[in-house]
Amino acid sequence: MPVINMDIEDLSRLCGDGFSIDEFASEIPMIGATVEKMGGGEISVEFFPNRPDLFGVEGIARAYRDLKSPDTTSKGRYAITGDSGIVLDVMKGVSTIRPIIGAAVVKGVDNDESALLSIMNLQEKLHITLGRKRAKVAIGIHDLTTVEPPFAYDSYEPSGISFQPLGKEGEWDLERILEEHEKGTAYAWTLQEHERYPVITDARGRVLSFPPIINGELTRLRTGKRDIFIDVTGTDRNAVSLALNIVCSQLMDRGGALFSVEVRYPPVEPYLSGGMGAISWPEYSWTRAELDPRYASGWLGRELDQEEISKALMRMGFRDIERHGDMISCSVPPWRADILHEADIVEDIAIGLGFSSFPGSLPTEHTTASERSITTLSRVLREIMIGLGFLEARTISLSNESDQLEMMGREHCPLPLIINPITTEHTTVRMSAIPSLLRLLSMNRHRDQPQRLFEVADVMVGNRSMKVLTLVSEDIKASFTEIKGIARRLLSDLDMDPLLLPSSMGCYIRGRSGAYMVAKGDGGYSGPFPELVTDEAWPLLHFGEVRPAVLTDLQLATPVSALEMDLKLLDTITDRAL
Amino acid sequence: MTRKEKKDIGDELSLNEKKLVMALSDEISLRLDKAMRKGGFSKEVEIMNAASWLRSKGLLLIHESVRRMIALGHRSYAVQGLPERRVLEILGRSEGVASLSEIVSSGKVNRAELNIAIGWLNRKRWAKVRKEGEETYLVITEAGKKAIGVKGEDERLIEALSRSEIEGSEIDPAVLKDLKGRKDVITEREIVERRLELTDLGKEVASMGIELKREVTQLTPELLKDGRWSKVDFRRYDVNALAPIPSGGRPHPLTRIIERVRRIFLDMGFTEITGNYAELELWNMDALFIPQDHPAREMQDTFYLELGRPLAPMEFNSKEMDPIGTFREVHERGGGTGSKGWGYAWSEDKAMKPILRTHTTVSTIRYLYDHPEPPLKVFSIEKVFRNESIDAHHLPEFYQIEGVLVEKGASFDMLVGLLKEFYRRMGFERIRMRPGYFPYTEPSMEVDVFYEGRWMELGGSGIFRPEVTLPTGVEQPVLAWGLGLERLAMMVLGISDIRDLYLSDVDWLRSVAVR
Repeated sequence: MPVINMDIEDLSRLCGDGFSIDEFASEIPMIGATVEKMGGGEISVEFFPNRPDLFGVEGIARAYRDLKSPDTTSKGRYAITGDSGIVLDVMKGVSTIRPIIGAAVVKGVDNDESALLSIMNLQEKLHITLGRKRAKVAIGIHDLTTVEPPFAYDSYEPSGISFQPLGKEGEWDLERILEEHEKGTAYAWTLQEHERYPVITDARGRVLSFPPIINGELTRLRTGKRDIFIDVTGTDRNAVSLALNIVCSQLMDRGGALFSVEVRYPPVEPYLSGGMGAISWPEYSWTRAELDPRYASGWLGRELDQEEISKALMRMGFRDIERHGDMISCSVPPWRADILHEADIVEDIAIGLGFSSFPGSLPTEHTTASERSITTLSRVLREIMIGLGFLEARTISLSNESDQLEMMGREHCPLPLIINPITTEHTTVRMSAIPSLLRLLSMNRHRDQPQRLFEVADVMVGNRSMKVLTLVSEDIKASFTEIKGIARRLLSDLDMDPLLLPSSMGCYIRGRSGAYMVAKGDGGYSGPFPELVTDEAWPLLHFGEVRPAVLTDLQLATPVSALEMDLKLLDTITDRAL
Repeated sequence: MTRKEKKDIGDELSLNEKKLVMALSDEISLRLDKAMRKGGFSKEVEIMNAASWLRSKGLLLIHESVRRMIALGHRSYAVQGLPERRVLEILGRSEGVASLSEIVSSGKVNRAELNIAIGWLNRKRWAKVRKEGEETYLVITEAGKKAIGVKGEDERLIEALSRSEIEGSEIDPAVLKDLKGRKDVITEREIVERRLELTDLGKEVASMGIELKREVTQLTPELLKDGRWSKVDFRRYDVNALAPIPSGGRPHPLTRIIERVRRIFLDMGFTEITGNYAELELWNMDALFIPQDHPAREMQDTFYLELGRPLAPMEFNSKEMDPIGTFREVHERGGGTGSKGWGYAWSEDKAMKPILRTHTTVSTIRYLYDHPEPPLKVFSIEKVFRNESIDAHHLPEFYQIEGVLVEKGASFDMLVGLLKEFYRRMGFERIRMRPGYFPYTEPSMEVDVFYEGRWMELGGSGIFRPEVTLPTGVEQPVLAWGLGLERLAMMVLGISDIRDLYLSDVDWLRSVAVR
């Protein structure tokens, strides 16, 4: 989540009279932020990704000012002053590459070092979050006085145009920028499907920007330059519009006045179906939203009158809160894009009222509770195993083919494969937990023996997860007889007497393992021991002495016996209440 | 103290204590080794145990003194004499003068010893060095002549030390210092000498007469059978003596915490539900109105699966619906939920990708589709997966405490109340609610508990968005939460490394306190 670093002096100046940093630090979490750290004249605050308008000190100060004392004149101040007279023409070529572009002019910005640093930080944060690493939205900020309108947004061959990119010497063509410039190599992926690249030029054909990669050195914004041209390009009109509004609002917080730019789109898709002919950007308006106060009261669990709602919404930056019959309407600030539904306004009411103002109530309707039968069964098995002196372990259910196939002596089994693993250890979900427990024994081989471990483990068979009971006994006396005794103890405690057959499980020494079988059920077998299924019976559990080769591979120098039981099958056949 | 009481003290003593009191009863004090012999003890630890018990009962004093004992290091000087003495004797035999080569060829000293000898001959003024041409000579002095056959103090000390070690305080410090100046001739050690002395009370107890009985350490079947148990004393145990802790079987500490959590929700009338590890993005993400380009849906956060057998998009007992059409509509235009929707082109291909579930909220949403009639109170405590590598704070799989509540009058306030109640029952008194963000809840709320001086973030919660619940058929607010278990467990168990839970040291499992 984005962390915003702020200079406390700058924040204080933007918040206005009566600002106290300690008060700020204690109150800001209540609008959904976490104070990461404070000290050395700076404060770092983390915000959630749904509020990109709070990704800069100006937006935070704006929200905080409203929270403390809502400014009734703000709607008039956060508005378009007039038309800049500037036109930007969009050419057909970009419609299939990076179709959406919006633009605006802000004049008279108090562009000091704090303002310049803040605008660069905001740009970067919006690029990462809202912009999905510039693929969806990229923002260009330019010194308006260095270029000559009208502007054009067109596509070029990789070597079709050259300019001096920001921070470099000489003229570079687009191909060289993508191959050699650090921003080019970082963001070339956003253009990799295309043969031509988007470029914004001025009336004299000079390059302002090669979105979403890099601006030209020509329009570099320096402190003291007060008139700013902003372009926002991307693939999603709503996201482009929101990013532009957030940037414009921030520059207006620094004393700027907002002017519109006319963007003319060509008569091709996607502009035709999107209703985009000529648009006066930015789409900077306070939209109206409606709210049913009864809905808000019901949702929040508290009877709210219009005044309470109004006060809470004003604190959250909404304006013109009015009642029309049963409904309340309000104006949503242009920098808020997270208002998709009435429910979003309800949340702002709750925040405006303060979460701490909700005392909390308890459910009143009667329900009868129950746990799952396999939970009960697992608890019973745990009690039996603990009574037998076994320690319960818990291991990771992610595993790998080598453990699941080679260690288990299985030729093939329906393992779910992880397409994007991060380690070779975790490339599948286990079908048996025996390898997990053997690995735990290996990790603990320097600890006192005997070590008897069990786990009520989650495994996956095919596309289904299920539970097994797995145990390992590492003991100088571990043997077939010992583990068979434990199997009999389990079965006798469960009041069962299934058929015992020799087993062919590959993890055991040949001739030293067995499987208890139950009559087969309906449908096909989908349990964890498919190799033990016979014509008449399904395996409930298998046990035996673990193969020496497995032990030596794990550097275990003591015999180990193991057992694994299918709890899903057990659950279906133990019908009595436990 | 009455005579009876003093007699009782004597009778209550252990066999070894009695033996020691009797050994000391006619002595002013005794050195430990002598007391050991006199009392018939075979091991020092026995007499010391008895002594410290008697001391704690006020019957005995233990006087300790530390002595520095001096002994010989190597014995060669004791056998052959000091190097300068050997050279002096050669000089005496050769009329007071000998060249260095003559001295070495005599075989009495080697080159190294000769150098040592020259230094000491000079220091003791027994001989002088004289150079003539290529050859160096040693010439005896008057003092040297007198010293022939007369042992110096240092030599006498070596002789004495060769017989037995001597206490440091009995030796002239100057002589000792000289010998210490020679390499490895002297060693020192400190010994603690203990003397045992009965206190007045001890003497009085002894004077009452002490009766020795046979003492047994273990009650045996034979003693029980033949009745001898009444004629013997049972040796008393030092309560602080080491007793090994049996390990036995124990539940994993996390199991206890899971059981506590489960118990709380069962007590509050919640029913346990379950789900599958493998899910389609369709249910894990799209059903929850998480836009398809949301950062949480990127490859690096989610494990994508290749399954031998594909998952079906629809698996309901009670409902017929078209999840694909429904979620497309909701994402693109709001789908009649009163929402604007995200306004992008929804992709079925993306939605049909199988993954390891990233939250158990997917079990909840499936349950809502299957059971849209309130009241609904369900929970689950199951594992979820995130594409992370293992370190002290991260695991690729961990538990989520999941739950929803739908009933008449359910509200945000009830969510606050419910979660406060849960954490209160888990033992946390200070609980803080603050705004949070999840794409599928509105309002969204983070729950913090105050622990060891700071606020710890433990869980997310909220009311499901209408875009999530209206398609299920549920019209009331759905209060939902997904709380972390491992972090809670680490706080309860006081551990700082999450790996302790899943890559456990067996000794930790054997010994960790029950919580």
